[in-house]
This record gives sequence, C-alpha cells and structure tokens, in this order.
Amino acid sequence: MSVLYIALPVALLLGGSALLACWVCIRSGQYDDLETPSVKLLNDELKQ
Amino acid sequence: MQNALENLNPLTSTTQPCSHCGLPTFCRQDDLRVFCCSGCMGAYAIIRELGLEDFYALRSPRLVTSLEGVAAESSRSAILEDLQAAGVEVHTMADGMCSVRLAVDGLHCAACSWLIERMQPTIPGLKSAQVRMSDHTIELIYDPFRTQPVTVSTRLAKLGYSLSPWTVDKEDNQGFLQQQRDHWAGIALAAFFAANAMWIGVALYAGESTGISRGHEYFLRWVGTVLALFAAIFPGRLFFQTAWQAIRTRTPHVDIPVALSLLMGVIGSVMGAARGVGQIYFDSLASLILLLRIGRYLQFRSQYRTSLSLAHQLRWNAVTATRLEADGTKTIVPASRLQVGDRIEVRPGEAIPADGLVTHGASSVNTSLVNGESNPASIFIGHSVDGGTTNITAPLTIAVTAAGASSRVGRLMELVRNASSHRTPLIMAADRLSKWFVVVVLTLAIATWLAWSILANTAIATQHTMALLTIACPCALALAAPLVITVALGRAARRQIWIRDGNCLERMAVPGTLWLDKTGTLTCGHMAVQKWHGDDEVLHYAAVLEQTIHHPIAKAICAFINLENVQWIRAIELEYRIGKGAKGLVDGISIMIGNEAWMCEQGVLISDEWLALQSSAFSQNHSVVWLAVADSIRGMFELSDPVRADAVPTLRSISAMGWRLGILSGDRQEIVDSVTSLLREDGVPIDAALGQQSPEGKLEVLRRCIQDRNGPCAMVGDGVNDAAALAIADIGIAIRGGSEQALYAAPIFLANGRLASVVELIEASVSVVRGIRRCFLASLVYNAVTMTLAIMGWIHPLFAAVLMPISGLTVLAMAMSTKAFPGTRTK
Repeated sequence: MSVLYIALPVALLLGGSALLACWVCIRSGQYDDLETPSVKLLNDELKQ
Repeated sequence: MQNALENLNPLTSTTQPCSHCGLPTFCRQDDLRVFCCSGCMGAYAIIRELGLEDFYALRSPRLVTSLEGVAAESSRSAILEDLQAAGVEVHTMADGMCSVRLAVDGLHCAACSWLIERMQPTIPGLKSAQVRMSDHTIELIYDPFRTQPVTVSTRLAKLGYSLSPWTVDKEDNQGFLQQQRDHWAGIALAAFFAANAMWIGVALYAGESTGISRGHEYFLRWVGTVLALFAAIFPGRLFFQTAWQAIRTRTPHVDIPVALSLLMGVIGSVMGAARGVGQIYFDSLASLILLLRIGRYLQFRSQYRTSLSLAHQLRWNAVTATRLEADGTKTIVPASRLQVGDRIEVRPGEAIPADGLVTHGASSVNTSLVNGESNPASIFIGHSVDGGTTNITAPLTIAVTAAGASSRVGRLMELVRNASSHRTPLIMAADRLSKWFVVVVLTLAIATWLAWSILANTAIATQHTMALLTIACPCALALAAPLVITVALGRAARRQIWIRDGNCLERMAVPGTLWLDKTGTLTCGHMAVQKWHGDDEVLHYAAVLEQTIHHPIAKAICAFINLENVQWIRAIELEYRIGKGAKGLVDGISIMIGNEAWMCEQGVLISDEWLALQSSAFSQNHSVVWLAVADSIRGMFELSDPVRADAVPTLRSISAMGWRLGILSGDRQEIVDSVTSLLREDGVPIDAALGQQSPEGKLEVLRRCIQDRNGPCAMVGDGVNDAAALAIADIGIAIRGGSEQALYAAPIFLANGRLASVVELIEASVSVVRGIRRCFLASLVYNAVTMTLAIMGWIHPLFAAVLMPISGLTVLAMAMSTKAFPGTRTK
C-alpha cells in the first residue's frame, strides 16, 4: 500500500479545512467592506 | 460694502485656495489662512476648537469640496427629525440604544472618515459613529433620550458633511452583499479545486515522461476528476443555471457556449478517468471555471459600482416640501408624502414639489426642466404650477392638486418606464459569434471523430476529438467583450461619466443621428446679457438696483456689469413688479429697469430710434430690458440664453465623425431657429431643428428616427421633458445640471456637465469596439490554428493544457490595454 493513498486525501483534507475557514469568513461578512479598514489603519497610526 | 465687492472681483485680487475647502478665494496672498467664505472660516474654527487640525494634514491634497446643496442643507437636516416619516429604519438594541444607518455626502478620503468619527465624543449621548467608505454611509448608535440623529446631522453639516436618509433600497444593499459573498465563496471554491486539480495534473504529466505505476495513475486520475466534477457542480453551477434559463426563454446568452464547453470538459474528464489512459481534462476544466468566475465577479462589481455612484448623485436631488398645517405650523416632509389638498410653501430657489394652484404670493417660475421654455414664467394667485419647476423670485403658497404618480412629472416618468421596457435587448457580438463558434466546433468534432474512426480506430478518434474540444476555447470570446466594456466603464466613471448600460458604448461606434435638447444642453440654461446699447457710465445704476433682486435677468445683468467700477450706493424706495421690472431711488435719482410694458406704465417714453433697436433684437429672439435714469431711457440690454462655450467645437467634431445633428427643443420655434442659425454660422451642420416639442413629441421623433434604421439614434438632454426620449433612444445621454428624472431615464449620465464628453464617449466607443474585435480576432486565429493542429492529431495533450490558459490570459491583457478614455490615470 503506497503512502500516496493516505497522503493525498490528507493533503486535500488540510486544504479543505482552510477552504472551510475562508468560507466561514466570507459568510460572516468579514470581506463586505474592504475600503474602510484600510483607511482606519491610517487613523489609528496618527492617534499614537 | 465696497470693500466686499472688490474682494469678490476676480480681477482685483490673486486667487489662493481656501484653507478649508480648497475652492479659489479672492483674498490677499500674504494671509496665513484664507477662506472663500465665512462658512469655511466657521468650519475651520470648529475643527481647531475640537483639536482636530490633523484633518488638514490627513486629507487628500488639492481637495475641492462642492458647495452645491449647502443652502438646502437645513431642509435636509430637518427631514431627519421625523425618521419614521423619512422611511428610515431605527433599530432599538437590548441596552436601549438606537442604531440607524444614514447616507453621508461629501466623503472624499481617509481624512473625512477620521474627522467624522472623532466628532463622536463631542456629542453627548452618541455612542458610536462608524463610517463605511464603500457605500458612503454612517452607522450611528445613540441614546434616544440624550440625542437624536438630527443633532448629529446639524453638527456634521457644519463640517460640510450632510446626512440623509439611506435611500438606496435596504434590500438592494443586502442583496449586493449577499451576491458579493456568493461570488467570493465561488471564487475561493473554484480556486481550491483548480489548484488541486492542477498539481494532480502535473503529477500525471510528470509520470507520463518518467514512468508511473498503473495503480497510482488510476488513483490520481480519479481524484483529479472528482475535484473537477466538484468544481463544475459547485462554483460552475452558475453557468449551467444561466445557460439553462437562456435556453428555456430562447434568448442567446454567452453562458450557453460556456456551459457546453464545461459540459464537454466534464464528459472528457469522466471518460478519461474511466479509460485510465490518454489525455486528461480535469485540470483545464477546473482552471477554466476559476477564470470564468473571476471574470464574472469583476463584471458584477463594476456594474454595481456604477449604479451606486449614480444613486449617490441622485440621492441629493431628493425633494422635500414645507407643508403648512392647519394650525399654522410648518413641517418638512418628503415630497412623496404630499397629498391632494395639502398647502405647501415654496421659497425662492426651491423646486416646486407637486402640481398645484397658487393661493398666495406672486413670483416667476423657471419651467425649463419641464417644457424646455427658456424664459421664466410669471406666476400669480390662481395660476397652476407644475411640480419639478423652480420658484425664482418670491415665496409661494400652493394648494396641491396632484402629487406623486398623478402629477405631470409622475406621468412623464410613467412614459419613461414604458419606453425603457420596450427597448429591444441588443444581442452582443460575443453571443452571435460564440453561437456560431459552438456550432462549428461541434460539427468539426463530429467530423474529426468520424474521419479518425475510419482512418485509425475509435480510441484514437476519441482522443483527437477530445483534444479538439479542450483546445477550442470560447472563453476568450465570452470574456473579451464584457471585459473590454468593464474596463472602459471604470475609466469613464473616473471622468465622471456614469454609464449604466455597457451596450450603449458599443452602439456609439457607428455614426448615426444625434438629437440635442436646446435649453440646458446646447445652451447654458440661463440668461446672459449679449449686448448693451447705451453709455457705460449709467451701468452702475443698473447694478445697484439689480443687486437687490433675485431674478435670472437681474443676475445676468449683474454678471455683465464690471462690478469693480460700481460706486456702492444704497437703493431705496424699491418696488418690483413680477414679469415687468423694478424701480428705486439711487443717489436721489429715480432708476427704472424693466420691459417695454413697465416703462409705459411708469410713463417713460421710448423714442422710435430705440424701438427700432428693440425690434432688431426681437428679430434675433433676444429679450430686451430697458434702463431709465431720471425718467428718460438711457440704455437697453439684449439678453438671451447663450450657447455653451464647448458646444461649437464639440458639435463640429461630432459631425466630423459622420454623425447627423438635430435639435429637439420644447422652446419656441423662433428661438430654436436663432440658435440653429448661430451654430450654422460657426460651421456646425444642423440637419434638423424642431421646436415646440412636447415630451411626447420628442419621444415620437426618436421613435421614428429609430425606425428609419439609419444608424444609431442618440439623444442628449437634461430635463424632465427629455426623459422619455432619453429612455427610448439607442443611446440616451443625460447632462448634469438638469433634473433627476432625466438621469433616471438615461443609461449614460455626464456628471461633469461637459458637452465635450460626448466626443470622448464616441471616441471611447470606437476604441471599445476595436478592442473587442481585436480580442475576437486573436481568439479566432488561435482557435483556427490550434483546432487545425488538433484535428490533424498533432497536438500533444500537455501542449493543449498549457496553450488553453495562455490564450485566455492574452485576451485578458489585450482587453486591459484597450485605449478607451485615454490618459485616465488609475487610482
């Protein structure tokens, strides 16, 4: 039994879990506004 | 006072941008800080008081704030007093706080959001104020017992940001966010499947050249195929769905060939996996789905951006009305909530929100937006007024006779909606080409299979056919046109040309007929003095008297007179008569300004010599205003609505491009004729000049023009009376400065108010069509060459897999390099 039969599904599962995390982030609305956070960063820097 | 006038005169002072808003000022240069007006000075003082001076360091350089709408600010703030009435949703949270989302106007850059959010601690009871730059909204969380949104609004208004009800449909916005999430999720999924399918593909190709065990090859093939199938089922489902819908409604759609090609990829992958030998397809299939999903998202985003920017523009035209209640109080309500029988007050400079009868007051009304008439109409008690016209001189009280959909404007909008829905959908070149493409590829595939079955065996035949189907990629065809148009739309938007319907850009490439509205489109839309007959030394009397009057003619005369030489003396014993003129005492001398009827009424005699001058002015359709000093005529102003400065060069270049030009106006035929002859003198060939056109008449002219099928029919207009024509035209272009109704109707909106942008549009259209053709050509050449090779059986599977994405990327690069709207810098 080659290691490939175990390694490939494991690799896909690992990738799949990252995909799931990404999916959850998208669905939770984290990416809805990509402009304001980049602007906010500037503001916070100035505050310090 | 004289000092103030001097400061206002651009000739006597150097200009330096205002320290607050960046508009030019007329102050001395040695001042440390200069301001264009006391408003900006006040705003600066507030900002400094709050210790927020960093704002000036943070904001974008050369920022120019628009001063438009500042006057209307108070009424806008007032509408927030009754949030329920304004249709704003207020959420009450568990801790008793309220949250509300409002639109912010005036946001430009990081500094704006910073400044607004720093306001929050200065307002007691305001828990948080979060600005969202992507759709220019703000979320206020506040304690309803300690503060109200209207307080925040008044505070922000002082800084130059105005709040208004969030008029973009809440469901629309939710829908957008949902769709955007779907797109991203789809892209993420597709990328996952594509990347994994690709490395499995690499393993197989490597195995082919270095040797691979049978068992491993089968395993890898099946895993790759399953991944590609998932890609087709989840992120690829979108294409099958739209294709299926298109087939059911029998409308050709780009997704039909795309779906077919995906389907072939699926069949190819499964067959390849089942046979276990020969070419693999799953990697191409998965990466094709990824590319298509990315393209689809870019298209969706740019379309939404355009419509959103337009919504921003339109929101500021939201009309409010001042309703007089039975107990004598005044309430400000949205115009849409007016009802028949309501009494409303309309101040000078405000738009009349509904049709009605004047019950109190006398004024003149600018009706150019509704019927194209360039001269203001005089209005007295008992006269009826149309909604959408603008009150000019004095406050009016109006009893509403028709509001909303039943008003004149409402009925015109109904016309617009009908015209829009009758527009036949233009079948894009991509659809036509890809339809043929699919037919050709399918025929060739069958022929190839049959030929190779006879020449060799079915296994080789299937292999070659599959190679053909893989390499034949309609994706360039499907992507090119939308991409080129999307790029052009984005660049246009940065030039303040908003294009809602990308097809319009394609249509303008061929010369056709261009109809132009006169008032406000060809001309400036307001009066200006053309000529002054008389001594210059009496002009300052006219200036002094006219300064006191809010009337377009008075404004025009003041603009004409060089205020530098005016000796500022107060005019006393002023008297006005609507539609006639004014008189007053300046320096003890009686001064009268007005038309012939006014002079006669005042007993001033006009000599025959002067009357001859008047009739020659009338023959050119100029309006005439007399100036009498000490009861004798001393001069005569000739006024007319001047042609826009950029009209002549613009029209010349448009006609040089082969377009026929026509004028379509609601104004009197004589005025239209005089403008036409003026333009013709300047070498602009005007083929037709139609005056006295009702909105319905304009619609009919456009309809006939479209039926002639003599090239595309374009319409440029700015008013309500153009709206229906703009909606039915092949290319409807609304120009800024007019009414929102025209903007709703037209697929193209020139927010920069420049007529010259029409030339840019036509040029952009030509390069867009050229760019699309170039992409098509490249794609067709690629397909012809590679398909021939595949049919001959010379294409190696590895080579096909590499070529396919390269062809797609080439088309992408070509589309991006289209020369539409050149010289527009990207962000």
